[in-house]
Amino acid sequence: MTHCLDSAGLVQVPGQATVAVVGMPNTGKSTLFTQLTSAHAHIGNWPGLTVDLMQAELTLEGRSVQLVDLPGIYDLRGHSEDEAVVRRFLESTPVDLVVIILNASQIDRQLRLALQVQQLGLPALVLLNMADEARRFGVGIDLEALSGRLKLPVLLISAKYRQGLGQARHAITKALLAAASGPATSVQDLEANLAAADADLDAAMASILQAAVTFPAQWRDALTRRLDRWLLHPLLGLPIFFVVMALMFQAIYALGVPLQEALGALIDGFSLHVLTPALASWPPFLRAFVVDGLVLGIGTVSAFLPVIFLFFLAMGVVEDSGYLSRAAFLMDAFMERLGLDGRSFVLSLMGFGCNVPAILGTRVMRSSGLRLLSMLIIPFSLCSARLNVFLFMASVFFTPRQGALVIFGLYLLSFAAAIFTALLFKGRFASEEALVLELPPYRLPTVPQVLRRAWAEVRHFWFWARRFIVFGVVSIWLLNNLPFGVAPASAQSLSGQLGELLQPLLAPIGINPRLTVALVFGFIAKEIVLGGLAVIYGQTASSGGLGHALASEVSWVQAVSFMLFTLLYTPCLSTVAVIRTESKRLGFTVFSVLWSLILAWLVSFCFYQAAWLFGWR
Amino acid sequence: MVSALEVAPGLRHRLEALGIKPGQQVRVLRRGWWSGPIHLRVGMTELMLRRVDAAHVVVLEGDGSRVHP
Repeated sequence: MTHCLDSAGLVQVPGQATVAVVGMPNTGKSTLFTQLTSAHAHIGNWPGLTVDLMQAELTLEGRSVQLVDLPGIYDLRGHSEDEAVVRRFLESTPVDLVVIILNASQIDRQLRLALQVQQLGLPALVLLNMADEARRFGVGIDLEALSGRLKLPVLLISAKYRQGLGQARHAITKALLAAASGPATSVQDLEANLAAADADLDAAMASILQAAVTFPAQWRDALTRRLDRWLLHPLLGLPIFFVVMALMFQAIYALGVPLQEALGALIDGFSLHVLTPALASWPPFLRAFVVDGLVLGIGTVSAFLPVIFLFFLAMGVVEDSGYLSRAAFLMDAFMERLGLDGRSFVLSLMGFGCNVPAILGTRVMRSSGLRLLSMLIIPFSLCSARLNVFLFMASVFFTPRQGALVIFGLYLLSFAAAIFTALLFKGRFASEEALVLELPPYRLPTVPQVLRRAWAEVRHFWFWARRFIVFGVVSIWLLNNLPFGVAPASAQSLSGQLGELLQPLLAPIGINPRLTVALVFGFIAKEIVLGGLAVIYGQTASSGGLGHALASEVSWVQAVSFMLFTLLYTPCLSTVAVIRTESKRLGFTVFSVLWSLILAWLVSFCFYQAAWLFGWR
Repeated sequence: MVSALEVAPGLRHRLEALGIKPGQQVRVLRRGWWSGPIHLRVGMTELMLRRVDAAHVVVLEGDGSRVHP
């Protein structure tokens, strides 16, 4: 997009109407928002609000309109952060129209939100979404009666199947014209207003429902009932879930890794055959800086993109189908004892693919303690980048059978580190929120819907990650090449000196200066560890030369210690960056990095020293 | 039938918005393993609720006896 994360943020433009979109979670609000705006949304900073809101400018029948997507809320008087955000927004920002989105099939309880908005005296419009589901479940709605009783325009739409969107746009324009008589105002005394009307709310709701809505005598969703009998089965539920997840990962990596390699090769080819000749006249130091620093940095970020896209595609399918909340149901009992909940489990599992999208996924959590604790354990999930390093090391130092055992052991340790960390810190990051989750009926996700969402996530990743990773790669490159004239990554370079400097700390865990430099590389991304070792030893990984060079200098005990450290310490700069942006706390980010370093050192130390005691060399 | 909500105001708002309020019929569809959450149906909505939290919702059977999660 042309304007995203613009630090100037957004301010209201005179003459432009502001339309706020309000609705409960799981009503298809974001789907509708993206469909109305054709995904031209960007993130805006609103004065007085700490969270980012999605917004988009669009033109409706000649009128310029700014559409703002407010967080999904259950109750305008609720106590969650999101509910407070919506209240503050309505109090501080003059809006010309509120679009209320309700799930038509759950109008029996969601009507409450519409009544609350109406109570505030704001010009409003009701869109009953998921018309298809209401039909499927036998909920009949008399739109005219409902509109008459609410004294608000009411439309039945299905955002997922793009039904009724044209009418919705037209209705918004009409409602804006009708409301244009007075200037837009923000709400005064919001709390008092709502509190005064609260007592009559239930009675008003019951009488409107009685007059305008018919409900089925019996629950009609036989499909959901039948699927739940198996998928939530006390004994079979979890095994089925693990098989489904395993298949999903297989699919993501079967498709993603070749794409990632192809993209990597393309960027390498570009830098070798196009960029290097083009910069031939530049001073060597500057040229190397651009080619091995900058381009390598951007390449590192780009190579992540296909896997992230596929990952969110798969996540989108699992989530939109309603299965993700079932997984949360199945694992909640175990996770509750770790101070986490079912959703943290699902995300940690996702982390075995890549930690970055898994941490982005913690956004579904409302409680900040729970979110932070989840962010603390996700980096211990053994991601595919680390697996690359381990597969290489295992093949150099062990027979295939031993190697498989070593890798399996690392997976076990990955789980153990997450569980241990959760148990240790669950008191510090207590979750104050009760877990009440909706279990939606099973739904068939549509292709455009999941594609659009995956694309939006990839874009989001690209925006914040590129600066951060480029900065990291460039500084490591400088460490390896300064002072001027030294051989890259040699003992005289800054990173070589760093390796020597860290010996008192790393010698007790069997990491020599050269391996130390590789670990410094690994801080950016584990993808660079092998490449880093190759530069340091002056051998390529593919020819087998690196394996020989390593094995001649490093014992298998040192190698295992190196793997343990690699598994547990900071996964990559991208993960650190995403923890920083998602937690919005520098202190927590530093703590997370330090804790993983401490744990990595302790585990490697115990292993290495114990191995010495047993006389293993 | 829900008879009372003995919970903190924050959770009360959430439960009421999801349909769990006094006078409302609820149906328990299943209970999770190892004291896991309860799968409920209220009106047109299905929910999972942890037992710790469910303990604060007073639910009476047809004959007036209290149901324990």
